[in-house]
Amino acid sequence: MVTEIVETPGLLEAVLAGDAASWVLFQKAMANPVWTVCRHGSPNDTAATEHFHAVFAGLAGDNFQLLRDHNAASRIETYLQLCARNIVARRVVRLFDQPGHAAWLAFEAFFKSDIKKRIARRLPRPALWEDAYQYVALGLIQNDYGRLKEAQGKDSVPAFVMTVVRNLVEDFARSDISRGPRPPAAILELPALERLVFDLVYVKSLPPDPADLTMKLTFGSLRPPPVADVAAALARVQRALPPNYTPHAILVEITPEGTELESPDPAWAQRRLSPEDEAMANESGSALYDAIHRLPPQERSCAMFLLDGLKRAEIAAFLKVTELQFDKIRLSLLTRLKADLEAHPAAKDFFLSV
Amino acid sequence: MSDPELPDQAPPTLLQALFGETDLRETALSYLKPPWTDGADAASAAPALNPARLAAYVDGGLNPAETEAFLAELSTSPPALFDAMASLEFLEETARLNLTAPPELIASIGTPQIQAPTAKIIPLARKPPFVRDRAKEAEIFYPLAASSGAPHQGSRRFSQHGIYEWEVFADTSEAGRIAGRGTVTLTVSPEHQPAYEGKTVRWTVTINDQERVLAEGVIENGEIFTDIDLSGVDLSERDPVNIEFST
Repeated sequence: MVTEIVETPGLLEAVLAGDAASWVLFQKAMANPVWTVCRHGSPNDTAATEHFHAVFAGLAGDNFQLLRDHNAASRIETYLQLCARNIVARRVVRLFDQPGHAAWLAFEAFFKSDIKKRIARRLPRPALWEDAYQYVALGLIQNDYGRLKEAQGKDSVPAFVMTVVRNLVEDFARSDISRGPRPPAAILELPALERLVFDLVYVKSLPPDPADLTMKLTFGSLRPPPVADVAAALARVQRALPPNYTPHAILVEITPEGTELESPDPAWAQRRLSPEDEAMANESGSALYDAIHRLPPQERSCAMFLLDGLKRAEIAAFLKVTELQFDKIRLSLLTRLKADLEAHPAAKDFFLSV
Repeated sequence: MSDPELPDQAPPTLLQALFGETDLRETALSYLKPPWTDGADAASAAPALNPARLAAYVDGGLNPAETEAFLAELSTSPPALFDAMASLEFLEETARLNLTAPPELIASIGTPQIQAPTAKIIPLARKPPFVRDRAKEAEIFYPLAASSGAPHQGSRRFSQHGIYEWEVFADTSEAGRIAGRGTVTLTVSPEHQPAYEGKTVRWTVTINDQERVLAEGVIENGEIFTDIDLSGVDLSERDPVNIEFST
């Protein structure tokens, strides 16, 4: 029924010509797709109704400029839902100028599922997701919602907000918090290999199998330890721990003065890499990103999505290819990257060695 | 020479781990920080996606050359690329939900505009353009627009000689503001009613040298009550309204 009305010849043209009755008909015809966007991104019907009216006001604004920008290459419903998403997101961040908690509720209703998706893609272990969400939320709330208020002036509010979220998730993934519970003092006094083994077995809950643990510790030119060393390290860790040891989680600290986003104990802030390895990783990373930018557009998009944690099916759907075709694209990009990196000695050692 | 103590299964290269879907990916990423997760600069540089092109891409409305150009443009900006993916997921989610708007919400859209006209309401006459000659035998008054910048529910004007008064009421509902709806009433002083009875009254504004009819009605029993089109008009501060009487 809706589509029939929208496809009424000349309805959109009549709206653009300023015919008020046609505008009313058009709004009624588009009510369901616009309502779906508004209700999906709202904490309740009242807020959704306000979004609903604001979306149509936005579409009518500037003499229907948004409707004039639509072209026949897409369905009007698709276009309107994308416009509605932008309008609602813009309204949501503007609410932070008002006192009270309504703005945060509206923000969570609109962005929470995207934030959770981002966390799940970056951090495969579900045990960390709740802490990561808390970390991101506190990062956004800090400085009186400073980052979100900054979004008000941006062309694309969803893109800006999710880039900020992506940065916060990455910070969390690299923070002490994501590394889980603080180990007992006896572990902190042990060498680096023992601390890594503790991390894998007692934080990441991997089976205490020396061969498996060695696999996890082995990458590129970072020298892999012999399995026997890992087994010895595991035995030392087990001896150092009290009987029936159970790790206690460290969460984000909330104090009367504000929130602490860092672990309060700097002793646990041990780097995974030595300074030399860190320098090599940075140099090699630059070479890799340069190589990615030299890929053809489809492979470049694919590489970025893969690094961002998207799955095969998701990327294939976006690129409008079958999963089999996607596999070929991935193989092709790996081949090109490998060939490109081979010309760079440090990156070759770092990325291509086993 | 390989280490005899290493497990039989060869570990993947870091490159393979980065672009694979195994649990090694997280560890691989810990060695490498993607440049698009590098602080506020990346966020500030997030460009706006063109919704018309994105919609066309999603609906398969771009030809192969346009598709390649679109992907090429996206892949130069990770924030734009990721926002495009988020938009696609958003559309998939709304397609799954496919909600129906509440009936009362749909019913409220433009309700005053689609009421059947009463005997006293004269349909708006936007076109053809007003021809000044039609009013050459009429009295013409040019009252100034109200100058208050305060939020207002309506505005009230009196003729210079107290012969008539008219008031404009803007429709302050959300739908009314969108459509620029309003109502205008005009009342002629009883002393002068016989002289004005049956005259046509027209409210106009001139914007960018173009005259536009906002409302038009015929005086019956000394008054007019009709719709007025306020879209794009600023009665409070910018646009003086002309009112013209003709026979």
